[in-house]
Amino acid sequence: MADKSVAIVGAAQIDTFKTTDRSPVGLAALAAKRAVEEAGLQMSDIDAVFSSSSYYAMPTLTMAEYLGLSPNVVDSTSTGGCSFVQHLGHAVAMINQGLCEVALIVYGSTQRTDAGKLVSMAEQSVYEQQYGLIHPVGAFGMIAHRHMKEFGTTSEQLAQYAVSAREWALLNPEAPYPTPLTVDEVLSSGIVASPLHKLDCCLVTDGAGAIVVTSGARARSLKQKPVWVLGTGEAQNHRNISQMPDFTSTRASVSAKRAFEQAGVGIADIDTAHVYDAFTISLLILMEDLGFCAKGEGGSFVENGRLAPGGELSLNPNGGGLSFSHPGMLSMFLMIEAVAQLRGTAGARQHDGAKLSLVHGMGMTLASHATAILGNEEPS
Amino acid sequence: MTRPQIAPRGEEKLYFSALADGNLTYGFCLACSTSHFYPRTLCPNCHSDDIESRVGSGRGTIYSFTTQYRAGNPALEDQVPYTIVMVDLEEGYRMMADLVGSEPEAISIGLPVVAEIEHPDNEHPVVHFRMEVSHGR
Ligand SMILES: [Zn+2]
Repeated sequence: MADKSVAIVGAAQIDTFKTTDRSPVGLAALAAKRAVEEAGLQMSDIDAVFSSSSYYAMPTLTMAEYLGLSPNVVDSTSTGGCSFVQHLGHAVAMINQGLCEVALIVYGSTQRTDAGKLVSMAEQSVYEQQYGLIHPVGAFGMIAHRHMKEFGTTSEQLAQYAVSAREWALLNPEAPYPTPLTVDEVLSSGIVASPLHKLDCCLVTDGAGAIVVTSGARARSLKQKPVWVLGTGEAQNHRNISQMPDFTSTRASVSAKRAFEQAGVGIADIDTAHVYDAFTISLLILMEDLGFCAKGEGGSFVENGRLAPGGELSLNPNGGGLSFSHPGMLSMFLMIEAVAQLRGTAGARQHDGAKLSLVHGMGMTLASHATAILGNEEPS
Repeated sequence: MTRPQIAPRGEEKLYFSALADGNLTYGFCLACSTSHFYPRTLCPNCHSDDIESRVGSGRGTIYSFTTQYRAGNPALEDQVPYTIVMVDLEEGYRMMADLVGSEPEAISIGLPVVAEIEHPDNEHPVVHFRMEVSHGR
């Protein structure tokens, strides 16, 4: 059988809290250079560019032009924050089709420098625009209220995830806030969109990231130990929050099932999980739908430090979107942390002997989903 | 009251002109007998284009809600805090609008609400919901 293996061979992130004198594409270009260099490749080896952006309507054209590249194929799939995990799945398919050999997935944002406002060129529905729903926290407030109503989830439980994420961040020298957080601090941080408090929400940061993906054949001869892409899956079901069929369940269950089946592994095999935590409630619902706990049990699952360092699962060990970095779209940085864990280079937050990682990105208001299973042992 | 300005097109315009006449409309598919909102040119359930625009009762129950303590648009800064509700209408569709006339503490999932249409001068009409049983009055 033909070798269908594909691996991540370069990964880099830069200015994950605050940058200076860099535009979004300028910052992204520097992340791209680092990722290509650490792979032991040249920029001229790149023959495919994948990007999504809140700034650039045609991000692959913008990126390729800025980098001085003329790629054979591009993909600017834009489904919100999960786009880059989708790009990874598409890169695997394109490499296996022979459309390209070395793919660059790249993203940059200067959202913190841009006065801390979420930058978005996404249009709003004319049926909803008049009401001033804050995207995305207003929708996540409605999602949280519904989860509380159906399952008895409490604000204290949501706050516990924020506390665990901060404990992880304390082990990450690149995380911006080197002080612990308490449940009371989360609950007294002021309500933004009920029932969600300021500290239920992700940070607003700058940041750029890039990963380089290539065929197994090429990967084996490169500088880094390959991180193998063992399975990917994607799914989606709405654009506007009013069209989400059930506010407490998502199609993360579908994308995860596809990724697990392709990888031939199960959830019990996962060593580290990198799950989109734009909000405490988004994390909690995704943990249910990915299968880490049963539907409705997310609240009790995040209690008692189960997800903190030394707990049952190494979840978002870099501190995640809540306590490390969230430059508008997070899934790039979820993948980069998974790569660090699988290479064994994550320092004080390293999960000893990590072999298998799950990355799950969601986009918009739990609208789109992409799951990837990554591992450091070559698939047989 | 000044609202974020919108630019409806095509069937979107038809919805807002019906509102201007005092009618809250929704899409009803004559092929599969299901309701949908927002109004579409094609049924999202069976993909028939045999769609009828029907006038709804505006009565429903709160599926979920959020009270925002920051404005989602500069035009609404003097309204904060304000509440946005997702309402399940009795004709079998769900829509989003704001909830007026209630204190945040009085709002909960499952309570009955009714739609009202406001039509400010020189602006598009806007739908609000109000609790059917008024609280604290
Ligand atoms: Zn139909």
